[in-house]
Amino acid sequence: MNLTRRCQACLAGLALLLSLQGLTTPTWAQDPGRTEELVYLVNARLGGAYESSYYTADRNTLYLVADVPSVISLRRTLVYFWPITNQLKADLDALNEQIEGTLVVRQAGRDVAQLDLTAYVIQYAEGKGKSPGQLFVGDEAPAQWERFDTARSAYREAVSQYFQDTLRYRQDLDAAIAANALEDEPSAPPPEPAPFYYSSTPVNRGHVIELPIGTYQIVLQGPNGEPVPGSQKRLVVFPSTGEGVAYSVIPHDRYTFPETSQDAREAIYLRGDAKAYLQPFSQVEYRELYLSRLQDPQSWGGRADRFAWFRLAEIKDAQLVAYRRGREIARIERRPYVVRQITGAALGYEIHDQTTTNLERLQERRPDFYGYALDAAKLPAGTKIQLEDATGHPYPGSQRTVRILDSGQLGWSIVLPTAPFLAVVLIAGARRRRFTRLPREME
Amino acid sequence: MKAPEAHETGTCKPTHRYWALRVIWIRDTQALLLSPGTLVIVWLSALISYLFLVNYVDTVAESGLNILSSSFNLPVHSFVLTVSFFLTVAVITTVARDMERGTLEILFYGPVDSVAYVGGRMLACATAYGAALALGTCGYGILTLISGFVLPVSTWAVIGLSIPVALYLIAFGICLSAVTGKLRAALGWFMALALLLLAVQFGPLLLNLAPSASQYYDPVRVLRGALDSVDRIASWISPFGLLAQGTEAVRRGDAPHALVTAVVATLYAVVLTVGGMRFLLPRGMHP
Repeated sequence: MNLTRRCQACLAGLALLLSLQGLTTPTWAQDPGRTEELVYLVNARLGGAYESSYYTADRNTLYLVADVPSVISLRRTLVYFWPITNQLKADLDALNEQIEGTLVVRQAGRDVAQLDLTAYVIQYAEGKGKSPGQLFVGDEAPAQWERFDTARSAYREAVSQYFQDTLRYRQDLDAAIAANALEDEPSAPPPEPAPFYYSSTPVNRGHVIELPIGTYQIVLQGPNGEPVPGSQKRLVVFPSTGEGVAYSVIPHDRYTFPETSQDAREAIYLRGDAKAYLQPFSQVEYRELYLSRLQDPQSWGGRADRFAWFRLAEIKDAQLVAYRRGREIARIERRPYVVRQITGAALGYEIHDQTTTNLERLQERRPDFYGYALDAAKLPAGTKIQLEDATGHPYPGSQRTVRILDSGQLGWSIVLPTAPFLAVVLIAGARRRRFTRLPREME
Repeated sequence: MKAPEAHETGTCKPTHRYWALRVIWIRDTQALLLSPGTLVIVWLSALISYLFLVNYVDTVAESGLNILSSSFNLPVHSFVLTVSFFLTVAVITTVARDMERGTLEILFYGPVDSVAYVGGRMLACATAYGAALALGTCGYGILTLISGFVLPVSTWAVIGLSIPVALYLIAFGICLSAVTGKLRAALGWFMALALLLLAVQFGPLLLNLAPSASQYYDPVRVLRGALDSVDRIASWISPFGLLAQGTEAVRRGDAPHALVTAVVATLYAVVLTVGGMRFLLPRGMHP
């Protein structure tokens, strides 16, 4: 028996031992216990998009934005506790049973609406975050789904065709090179198909709900007219409390760490030699509690007496106008910018204006962002900026103050806090301390 | 002006009361403004404010960019709270010591009654606070010119709002001294209540940093929720809560809310001042 055979025998024995060990030792993979529960699935319209969330049985209140259509549906599903995120999760893949019935909305004891189940799809023409969400209900829902499916199939075919064309192009090119038949520049490669951002949910069924501001009670009435146990919830329909413009302010050398300015009363302070790029977004303000519950029904944060901004779409069709003492001093155009990572010991990023950069590689790339450049060296002190549309009307809440800070001048001003102290000490020392006396008659 | 005539014990004629109030006001104001304690506190407050601003400038110098809603809010808050806290402790010490040592009784047999006494002390504290605020504001103005920081209208509004809040805190101190009658007890109660209100205000924020251990049995979550609920009520009672609420209203441009906060603080100040007068009369007089 040679050495190899002995080794093989040893390995086989070890494998057998390990397999036996596997049989006797319990497996420690954690499987959280799942319980069957009724949950409300909600597609709540927030800003221009739809936020999907689910309200487990322990959540008594649902939150929706007023006067915009949202969709809710009651489902029977399996719920489990996920300790990693400390949240209750719905296992909709394992069980997702639609509860049939009519959703009854009540306010102060009287019925406000009775909503039947209807088919719906939610679509984004340019993808979520880049275009507003569109809700299609009823007969339109399957038609829109068909439209999406056709477009998706066409894209798949275009991609498939592109790969075939590219393969053929390379083969032809290789053949030409091999035959030494390539005299001029080779022909251009086949063009890539346009990116496909169009997105859609499948056709689902839900209760489309659009209510004015208020607090309501909802309950699902089953096909027999009886309320479905566990379906009664409180519904808070809340308004936005303000609108404005947020700026994402990207420092020239810190592309990955932009700052955000959300309030028109904020000032943007720049160093004398600094450059920054502003990306404006429209935004709406809501009560912090309602917004946080709508986005995550299981969150515990947020208070009703505080407010939070919610960012919407980027503003693309505006000009940034700079004013000083009420007079316009500059109009800043929205331009495409590309970011180049600096290699070597310095590291960091450089932002280049794509229309003026002399780096050919950057000219051909898709821009990393569009924005408005603020150059501190070119801005006079006390500049105010605001966004204006094509007709010259300012965007509400887009005003900001831009200040250039000079850190060098602040050094000697350390004496300033001490000045009042010294002044009072000197005055007190110079004067005799006099107290007002009572009139003689009163003493 | 002709001096008032003799008085009856425990009560004062309006003219006597005016004279007494005026004397207490002027004497206390001088004592407060020229005392080393006030000067040190004002200096320290100004220094803290200055350090905040220097920190902002350093941030801009290093990173090239800083976005601030009001660069003076934090400095103003630190200034306002430190000065008003000091004045409250000073007035508690004065009133409680006067009661403990029997000075109040002598004063009340003299031409002073509780209205003149409390009114004079309140006016003195208000004047001292106003003077300190004026000094601080001048400093902010100069720093604005030097550094390039904006001193926005909202900061002026917060400075204005701080006056009723500071008066409320001072009136609370007087009332507390009148109720307890003892220096140690008054200071102890004041410190304990102030710390409690601050804990209620900032507790939920600190607890938010603590990770939750369990969805179902998480004492931190329960405590956070409880503190949040208490804070909702306390923010309408606590002077710190009122100031924070008013500042937030000013920041959002919610003038009615800011005005309501100022009115509530003024109302508390008046009620507590009157309460101090009422409590002081029987307690100041030994039977």
